[in-house]
Amino acid sequence: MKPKGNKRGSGDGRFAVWIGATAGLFLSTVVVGFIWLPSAQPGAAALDWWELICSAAGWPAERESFYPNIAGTPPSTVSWTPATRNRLTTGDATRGAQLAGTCKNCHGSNGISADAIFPNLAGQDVAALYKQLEDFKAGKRNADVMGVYVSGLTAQDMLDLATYFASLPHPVVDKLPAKNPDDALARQLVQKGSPARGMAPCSVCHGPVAYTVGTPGLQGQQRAYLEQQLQAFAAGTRRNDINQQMRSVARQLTDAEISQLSVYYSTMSQ
Amino acid sequence: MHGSSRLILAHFWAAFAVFAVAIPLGVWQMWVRSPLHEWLPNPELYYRAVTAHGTTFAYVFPTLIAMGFGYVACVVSLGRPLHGVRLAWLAYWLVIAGAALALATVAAGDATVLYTFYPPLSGSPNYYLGILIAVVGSWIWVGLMISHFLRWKRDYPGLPVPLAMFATTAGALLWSWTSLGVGAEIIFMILPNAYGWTDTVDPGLARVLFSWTLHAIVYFWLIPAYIAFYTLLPQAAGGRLYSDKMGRVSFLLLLIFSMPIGVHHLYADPQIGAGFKFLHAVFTGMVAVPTLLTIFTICASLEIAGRLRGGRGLLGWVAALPWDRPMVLASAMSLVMLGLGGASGLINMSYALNSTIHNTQWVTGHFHLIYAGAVVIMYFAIAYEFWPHLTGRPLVSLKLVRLQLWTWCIGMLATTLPWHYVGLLGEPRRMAYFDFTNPLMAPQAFWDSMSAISGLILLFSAALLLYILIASHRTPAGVMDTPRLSLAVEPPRSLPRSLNSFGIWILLVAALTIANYGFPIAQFLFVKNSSVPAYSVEAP
Repeated sequence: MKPKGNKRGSGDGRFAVWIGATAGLFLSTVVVGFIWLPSAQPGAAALDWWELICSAAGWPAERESFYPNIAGTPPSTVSWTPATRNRLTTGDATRGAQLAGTCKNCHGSNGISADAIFPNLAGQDVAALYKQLEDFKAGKRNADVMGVYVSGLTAQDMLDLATYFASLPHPVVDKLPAKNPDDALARQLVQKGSPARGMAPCSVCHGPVAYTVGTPGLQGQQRAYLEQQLQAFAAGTRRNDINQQMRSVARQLTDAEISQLSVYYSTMSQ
Repeated sequence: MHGSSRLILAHFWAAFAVFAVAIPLGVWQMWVRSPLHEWLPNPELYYRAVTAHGTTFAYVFPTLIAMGFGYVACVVSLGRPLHGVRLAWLAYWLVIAGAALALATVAAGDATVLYTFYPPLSGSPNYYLGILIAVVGSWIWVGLMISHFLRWKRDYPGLPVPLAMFATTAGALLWSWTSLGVGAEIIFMILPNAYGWTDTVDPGLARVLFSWTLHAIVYFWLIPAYIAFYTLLPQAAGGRLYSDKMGRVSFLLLLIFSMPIGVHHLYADPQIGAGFKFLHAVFTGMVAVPTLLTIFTICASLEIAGRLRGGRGLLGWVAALPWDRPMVLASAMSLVMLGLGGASGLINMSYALNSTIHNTQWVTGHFHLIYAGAVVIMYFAIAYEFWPHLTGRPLVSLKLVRLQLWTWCIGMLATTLPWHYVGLLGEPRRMAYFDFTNPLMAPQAFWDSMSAISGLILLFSAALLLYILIASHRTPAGVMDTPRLSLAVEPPRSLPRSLNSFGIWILLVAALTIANYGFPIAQFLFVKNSSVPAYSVEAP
């Protein structure tokens, strides 16, 4: 037999008390959090009630102001949108190989340059190769040498070339050089960065720890080329790095650090 | 155990097996990033270990313990055999299979995304699928617990459902509701992206959905410990539970308030408005209420036991308690760690104070002290309590059991208190190595070394636990008592519906969730350009 107090619908006043108390807590918190606290913020006097509530809810009053117009020219015409990244998977390496005849004169028949001033391209990331070709063509990167070669290329040509060179075997494997007392500065910068100067470790974008999109891997790259490019970033003569990521690092490096870094990455090989 | 010993033991053994794998990983992480070890040449290994450790301890170990202990609570408190045993085994094997798939993927280096997933990081779909399978397995257990609760109520209309069963059902309901967040994140966002069906993923929405799970999951881990406080400890101490109703109120408050508060994990996230952060902060404060009620009730119950055992005076009853019993000793240690960890949690939940320790090692210290300390030590106590009943064999040595509990408690305090301190100094969490030669970091070197060395104490304690459980399983069979649960001072004869059912409370939980999470989730239907391409971490 059911005790009387447990029948469905019988008045258990606790439900009303608890639910009422919870609702009261909710409503008073909403009043404090969505009206009173935002109205106490600096600049709140200019807002009406609805704008206060919207600001506390995280809803910007004017959506357009969310995307400010930035004056000036961007450092690169390439942006890593999903569309760009999807397109980078559609390159044709065979066609790229047919177009690559001229490239091989400087960058080597297998994408590994014989002259230290020209970068190796073999096994490089497609996105990194593609971005540099686009930047040369768009005049975002000094194209004294490359300009004549890229001027006739279509976007598809550049994609196929990038895909071809990316498909060639990389000259090195991921391996740190043996410890060498002469590379202490470079080892520090590559592995730890320089927190006091606001510099992240090189290895978290350029490998071997991680690679960010469009960033070249540097292991086994030509020493003279690396040094020249770091100097160019430092001097501001190379400007195709988005948000000045490289320029803000390179201009803080000493000549000795630039030299050691170039040796360090170029010898990071088997 | 009404013929359920094999099922329950399988859960406990599987839980302690994954425990045995994941503990050394945690100790290793502390060691290699401390000043006592050279830098790892490849930090990937560190993050792989973090992912395996976190995945095991978030999704596998506590789930198996909660499931196993749930079955114990069922058979012991209801005093009748389990039904749906085949489904229970299915749930068990789903959890095992899911865990194996997820952990194998992590071990292969294909899913170093940490257990919190962190989209746009993207690992192999097998990892997420494994976790989903394990969670689905646990949902079967949720169904079984609700079914046992309802069937008992149907068979004994009007009688109070035993507290252990009531609390277990509260835990199951809490888990079913809170796991929907991570379930939705995996099913609708992460898996389609990992399989390549979508180009982008919205990290903001993913984080909001994960926060839905992230806080209440801790209460799902905590509830077995609280059930032990209410239904095992008073009897182990030789007394009675001070108030059965207070227990029910506490479990109901946990069910209601632990869910709509997860945004306190997102205080630094720009996609959530300050108003919602404040709202969640206030409701987070409310979950302190059931914990304070529990501490009051447990201390009152222990005082009853201490005075029954001849304790006199203001604190004489404390000395009179049977400290040699594992359940009593572990509970006291648990309460100490709960108190310290709860205090650091108050800092985390405060919108303004949180900014001083956000994403620092303080946070790691906080949740290890609460979970790996206060909660896991109660899992040990639960295992010690029921091992003789499950195996039919006595524990091999109570002295060793006490040594194990002491080393775990001391090891955990000595590991996590330095973490709190270095967190205050600004040491970030989830770092594979630190540059201790930097003058800013140098003061942290000593404390990180202390944590690393304390990790070895925890390793010893974990090994001792496994030795005790294995050795006790191999001792000659003895005659064991029937397991019993604590009686209340005034056992309830009948209860009002509000303390003996969940229907209306579930509606309240749903309403609060919609109120607190509705807008933060729905806003993503209208916000544009918030999705980004995924960043694959799969091994090349």
